[in-house]
Amino acid sequence: MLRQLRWKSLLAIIVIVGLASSALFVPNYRIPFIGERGAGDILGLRLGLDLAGGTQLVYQAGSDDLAPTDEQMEGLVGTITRRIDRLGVAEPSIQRLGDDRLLIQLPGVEDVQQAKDLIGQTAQLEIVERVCSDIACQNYEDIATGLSGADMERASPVQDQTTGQSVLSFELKRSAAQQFAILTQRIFSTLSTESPDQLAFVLDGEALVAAVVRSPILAGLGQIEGNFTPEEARQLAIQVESGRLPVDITELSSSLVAASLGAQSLENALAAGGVGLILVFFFMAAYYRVSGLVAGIALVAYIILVLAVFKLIPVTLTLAGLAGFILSLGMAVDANILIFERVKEELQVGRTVQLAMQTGFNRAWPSIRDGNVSTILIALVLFFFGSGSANSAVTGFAVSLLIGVLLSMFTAILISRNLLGIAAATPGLRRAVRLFTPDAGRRRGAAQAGRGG
Amino acid sequence: MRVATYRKWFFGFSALLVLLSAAALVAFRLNPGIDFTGGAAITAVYETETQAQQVADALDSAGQPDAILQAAEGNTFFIRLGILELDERDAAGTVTRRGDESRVRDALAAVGPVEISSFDSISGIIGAQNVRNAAIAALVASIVILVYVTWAFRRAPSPFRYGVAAVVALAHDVFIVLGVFSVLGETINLEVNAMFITGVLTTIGYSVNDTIVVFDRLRENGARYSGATTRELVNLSIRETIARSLNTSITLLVVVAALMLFAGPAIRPLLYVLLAGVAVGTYSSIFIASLMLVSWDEGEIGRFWRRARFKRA
Repeated sequence: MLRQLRWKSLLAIIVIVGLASSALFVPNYRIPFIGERGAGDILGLRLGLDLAGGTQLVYQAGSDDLAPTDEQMEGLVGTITRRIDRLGVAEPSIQRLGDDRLLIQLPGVEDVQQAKDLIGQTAQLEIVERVCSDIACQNYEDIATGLSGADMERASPVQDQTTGQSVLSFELKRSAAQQFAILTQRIFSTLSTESPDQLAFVLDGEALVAAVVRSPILAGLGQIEGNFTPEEARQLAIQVESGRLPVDITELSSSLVAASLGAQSLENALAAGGVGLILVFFFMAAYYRVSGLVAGIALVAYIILVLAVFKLIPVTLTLAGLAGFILSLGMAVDANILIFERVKEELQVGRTVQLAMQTGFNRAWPSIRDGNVSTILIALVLFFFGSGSANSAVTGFAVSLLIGVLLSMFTAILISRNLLGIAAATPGLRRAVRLFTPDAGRRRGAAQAGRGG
Repeated sequence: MRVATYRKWFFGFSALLVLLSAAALVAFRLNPGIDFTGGAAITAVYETETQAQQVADALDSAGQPDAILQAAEGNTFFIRLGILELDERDAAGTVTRRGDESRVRDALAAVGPVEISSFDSISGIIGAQNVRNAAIAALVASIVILVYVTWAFRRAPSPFRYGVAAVVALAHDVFIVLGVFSVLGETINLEVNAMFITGVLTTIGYSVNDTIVVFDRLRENGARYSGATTRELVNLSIRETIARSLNTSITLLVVVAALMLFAGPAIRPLLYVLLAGVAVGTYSSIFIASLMLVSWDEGEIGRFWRRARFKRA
């Protein structure tokens, strides 16, 4: 019965570690409904800017007395995303931080000035007349009308009362209403059936929307229909609004890491990790013998598990994240040491190897659990501290520490315990107490002598 | 091993370390990096032979006479500047006057062919915020630990004492780490940055983890030997856990030392904190946290407190 359970758990270990290895070592693949994995550089892991090189910028939107609204922030993200796309950056990331900040990450960009110039520009919204030369308006020429975002009163998504469709409703300022009326009247009256001219809202030189003039707009109040979903209409309104009332942004921090420095850091970190690991392996094997070897196997499995989880989530690996990973590796080693010390004690009072393994693990477990929970709590505090202060280094450290500690508990329960059990049940090893602990034989004698006297 | 009997020596040693740290903090203060003060840090690597003086002159001409310059091997220069003036822009967002960053870049490029391998610039707003957030994070972490340890040992007699002892031990560790850093700031110019805060919080985590292992054994022994005094239980528990404490610390220290040899300057402050934090954390979990429980149990803390109040009156 016990034996059967053990082989089942060995099977579970093989399956889990096997799955993790294939997730990690298969270069890239697609998970249905979730997305592509494995676009990164090493084993398909995604590397942060400090390892891959690139530019990171943090901006404050609005001013002290004028906080931006949620829609304004959304519009700002959209505007900056479009400009960055023109820069041709592979996988840029533009995120909101808190209520009024933006974090922009540009992998591979080393010309910070160019990026800043592009981002720092104020959004320019224009209303243009689009003269078309075919019916679908594939070929066209935009003609300035002199009307811009400054002439608009508002833009908002509404549901048309008669058709029930989502449309973009907009209103021009009173001062511009007459000019708009003349413009739309002229376009409407000269409308040809082969190539109907259009009106377009252009933001930063890129058309957000273009529409045929169905009727002259006389009172400055119009709407654009286009089979929009409610979300599309909302997005469109936000973009038009972001050009109508641009939000001021101020640079809070900028950070550039050249690709060469990033590669150097990565190489250093890998070398350090490798040397550290080898030292730990030697120490464990020398001090704890067979148990130490088991710990070595468990650690290799642990590393595969953590990296596979990093790849699957995916977690962007930074220097700080690597430091967090290494610390959690320390915690994983600690869990093993806690178990082995307990096992050693049990062997010293004369228990069989098999029984010592079992009681040793059970006795060590409360310490492993409580210690790990406290580290998890600290990692959570760090995570909130990091995201609150826009410090991606601290957040990265916290995330990898959190994942690492959670998995180290998992490894201790599933892998270390069961492998130890199997080792203890193996014929030949079963009676070789000396192979499991450095000085059990000697101390065991001493303990017995002590008890006798 | 009768550690508890000699607790006054350990308390005395810790008091000495704390006093030395306090003295170091008063005398040298901490050496805050740009994460806390705002400012800029640059790593410039020249492709040709370049003298520090040339770089200093270039920075001077770019309006940065107070730049701190540190030369390293391979024509590499680490440059520290104050808070940089941003580009000035008109209403349309077009740059009308270039700020300090471009002037510094241009000046550095004028010296010779150069690669700017890193350029960090942080405004004063972020700096002030980081200081505040770090203090809040440390405070929140302490409260969380106090509550958690009290809860985890809820079945032990007087669990609140466990919580308090764990927090005192971690405050002790953090304070000594700060002291070590003020000395390192003075001697090798090591800066306190965001990674340093990360390291301090990690130290807190490690210190508590270590303390819990000893407490856990104390709880177990308390249940097993119901007639024993706290002093006897602490002595026994420390003896039983010391091998594990030392082995874990040694493994961690070995890994951190290996990292130190290879890792670049970016995470070096973190590694120094971990080195100091792991060492002092191991010490405090054995000799401070558990011995405090003995003192508390034998009424010494109450006596000490009353005496202090009496003297004041």
